[in-house]
Formats: sequence, structure tokens, C-alpha cells
Amino acid sequence: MKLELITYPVKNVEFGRLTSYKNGILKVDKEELKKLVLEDERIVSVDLDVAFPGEQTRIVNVRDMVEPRVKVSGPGGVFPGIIAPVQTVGEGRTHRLSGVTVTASAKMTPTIMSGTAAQDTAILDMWGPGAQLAPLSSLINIVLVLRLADTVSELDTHAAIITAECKVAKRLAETTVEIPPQNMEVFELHEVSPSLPRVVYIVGFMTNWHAPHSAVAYYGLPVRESLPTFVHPNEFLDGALTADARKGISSYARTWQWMNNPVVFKLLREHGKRLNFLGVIVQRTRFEAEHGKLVSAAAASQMARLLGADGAFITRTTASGANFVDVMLTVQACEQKGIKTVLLGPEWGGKDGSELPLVFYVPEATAMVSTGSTDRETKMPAPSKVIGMAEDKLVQLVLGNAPFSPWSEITLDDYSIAGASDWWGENYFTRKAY
Amino acid sequence: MVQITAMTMVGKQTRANRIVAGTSVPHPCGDPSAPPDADRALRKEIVRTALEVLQTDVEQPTVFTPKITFTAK
Repeated sequence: MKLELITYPVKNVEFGRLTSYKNGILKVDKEELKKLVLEDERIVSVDLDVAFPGEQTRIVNVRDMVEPRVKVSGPGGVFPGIIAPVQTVGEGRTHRLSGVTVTASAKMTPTIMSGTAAQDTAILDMWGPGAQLAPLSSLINIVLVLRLADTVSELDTHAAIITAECKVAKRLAETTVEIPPQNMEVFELHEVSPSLPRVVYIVGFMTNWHAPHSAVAYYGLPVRESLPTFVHPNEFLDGALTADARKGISSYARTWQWMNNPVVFKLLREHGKRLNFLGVIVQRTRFEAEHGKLVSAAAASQMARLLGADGAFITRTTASGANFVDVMLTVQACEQKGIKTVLLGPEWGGKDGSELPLVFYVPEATAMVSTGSTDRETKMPAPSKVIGMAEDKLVQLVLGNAPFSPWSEITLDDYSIAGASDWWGENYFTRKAY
Repeated sequence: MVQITAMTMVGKQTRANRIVAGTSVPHPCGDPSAPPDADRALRKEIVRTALEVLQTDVEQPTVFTPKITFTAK
């Protein structure tokens, strides 16, 4: 399976009369894209805005974001199971617009009023201390400000938002179809020297079995009670893994992050040079009893062993402690089968860093990379522009929390800032080796 | 003290003295998906075990498993 990924960098976005891409300038026909979004009757209104890195803009009601991509040749299309047929992707040629994201800011009428199954939203600051946390603030955000019909169910809300952002993203990437490639990378797990270490990536992620959407979908299908699945890394690049678009908080990875998972990219680029990348084991974590946790760990490690892995790179999502037990047991099960592991991800530790950094550990976890703390708070100054408010005065991040005015100075934890929790080592914290 | 938890490994690591294995993380003391009679029997057995364990001397963190059967989730 060979995928040619061609990058078209975007330096500026302008609203204009014809959607087009030329010399790094992306022109966007607002009315055309609005019409595209309003094809879906679940969406009653849409507006488009654009936020640039460095400007004093705060985006609110942030749900999800995607990178503009389009399949130019090869089987299937981008975002399979959502806006393309369910057909294995990761082959042929895909175009992407870099430096830009389609961001969905949406208002809905919730029916689930509390708990982890409820919808939530995040904040994204384009400047200042908030922007220093996550790479999403360094992208030009083309924001879809959506209002869902009152009668739309929770799952349909997700479906409407993700369909809208994927359709718009694909349309924007289509502007590059006729432009000859200048920046091409080829990703293929070709045969390599047998002397190179065999490495597998185990991407663990929490899912909620009781929620309308489990938090992560594979080809549009929410992953629930499943045992580990083996995936080609190229599938990530064509949008085969996507998020629950109702949940903006950074406990979960956004679709943009699934498409740009830095571990997947790094291992693909090192394939044949420093290592032999075998592929990705996609592992649903946070089983609800020890039995499930042990079985999941056994299955993931057994899959790695049968692939002949010498080493496994392991990550997770969400701050859930129950979830972390599955992850640590996977580290243990791999090590016990003779597979060396590296576990990467954030710690807990409390606001001042004095609390327990890991809720559970195993003696076999001897190589870990910390991406910082998830519990810190960041003070963010007042913005001069807010996107995503419509006629509202207040925003609410999580149901049950007090609504507040986004026009003022605010102090938030990492979970409330889009992309600020660093599950995959893509953020800006400096690591120090001890 | 006795701790009822579905995550006995965490209980041991945090050095709880007496740990009773519960059914699942969201429902340590029962199974709402079971028929009411079965759920009641399950709850009763877990709490009975916990009361019995409270009267048991232990030297180190010790896991006690109630006499229950349930389908793991």
C-alpha cells in the first residue's frame, strides 16, 4: 500500500467570489460553502469566519476540526464512512492543505444533561498564553459557526457537524486537484533491511460505550466494546479515524489530530531508516471491569508478538484513571512477552504539580516520556474578537459548569482548551531527560 | 476499613487494607443491566462480603472476591 501525500501550504485565506487556491492564497466563496452545509436539514444556520494566528481572537463552542484533504487517485475517498463509501483507504494520491483547519463551532440543544456521555465545548485562543499550548492555534482556522435544529438527537448532532466540516474540508482541498505537486511525501511500509528493529504503534484511546457516539470512529463506525484492530498507518492520513464531533474538550483527540498524529508520521518517516514500522494496533481502552482490561492488554500484546515486534510505542487519550489501567496493563503484557515498550503521554499531578503523577503503574513500565501535566491552569486575557457566539452573551463548556462571558479574562484547565492536552507529543512543552 | 472496587489492582497499589472485588467501574455494587432479582442478590452478596471482611484481620492489602457470577463488561 503506497500513499503519495501532496502538501499545498496555505499562507492566507480570503473570502472571495470563487473558491480557489493559488500561490498559497486560499480564496473561499462563503455562499457556496454555506449552501453546501445547508444541504443538511439538521443544520438551521451557518456562518463562516476566519481566525488568523496571532490575532486577538477567541473561538468558542469549538467542537471539532479537520484538515482539508481530497483523494485524487486510488481506492475510496477521504473520510470514508462519513462522506465516502466504506472502502479501505491509504493508497494512491491524497492532496492536503497545510497550515489551515476547518473548525466547527456549533450550538445544539442537548438531551443528555450530565455525565461523560454529554456534549461539551472548548475554547481556542489565537494569541497569548492560550495559543502557546496547542498547535491548533498556529493554524488559520476557517470557522463554521453552526446552529443545529432543536429536534436533532445527540447522535445526529455529531453526524451533522462532522459531515459539514468534512464536506467543506474536501471542497477546499479540491482546489488543488489540477495543480502540479511540488511537495510530495511517499508513505509505504515497503520491505526493509532485516537488521532494523521491528516497531509497532499501539494507539490506545478511551471510548464511552454508553454514549451516543463512543468518542472514536473507524470508517465512521463508533468503536465500542471491540478488541484491538490492526490498521495501516496510511489509513489515518485519509481520515479513517475520526472523533465524536459533539465533544470539543481536549480529553479526546480531535479529527484534525487523528489525521496528523505525530507518532504515525514520525514512524512512517523513520521506516527503513532507523526502524521497521509494522503498523498500528488500534486499541479501545477503559473496559469497565478488570476482566476486560486484562483481555484487551493480552490481545494487543499478543497481536504485537505475532507481528514479530521488538518494540511497541504506546499512547492513550483522556485523563480517565480507569482508562489508564488498561494502558499500563498493555505495557506490562508487552514487556512480559519480550516486547520493549515506550509509553508517551501527560501526567496528572494537580494544579501545582504536587499530587500523584500516575494513578496506576507497573514495575515493567521503565521507559516513559512525559508530555507535561493535564491539571495546570492557564490565565487567558480578554479578546478583541469572539467567533461562535451569534446573539449569545455567555458560553458553557461542560453542562453543570457555570456559564461565563468569553469577552473577559478567563482561567481554564487544559481540558477546556482545544488540543491543549498533549496525548501524542505534538504540543510545545519542552522535555528534559532524567 | 474495607474498599469495594472493580479495580482491585489500584486498591492494592494505594495500600487499602481490605479490598472487595466489585462488579464494574460505574457500578461496583451491582449490575443494573441484570434482572432486578439477580441484581439484588448480587448487591446483597457484595455488601455481605464487605461486612464479613470488616471483621477479618489482615497483614497486608488483601483482595476478597464475593461469591458472585456476572458477565464482564
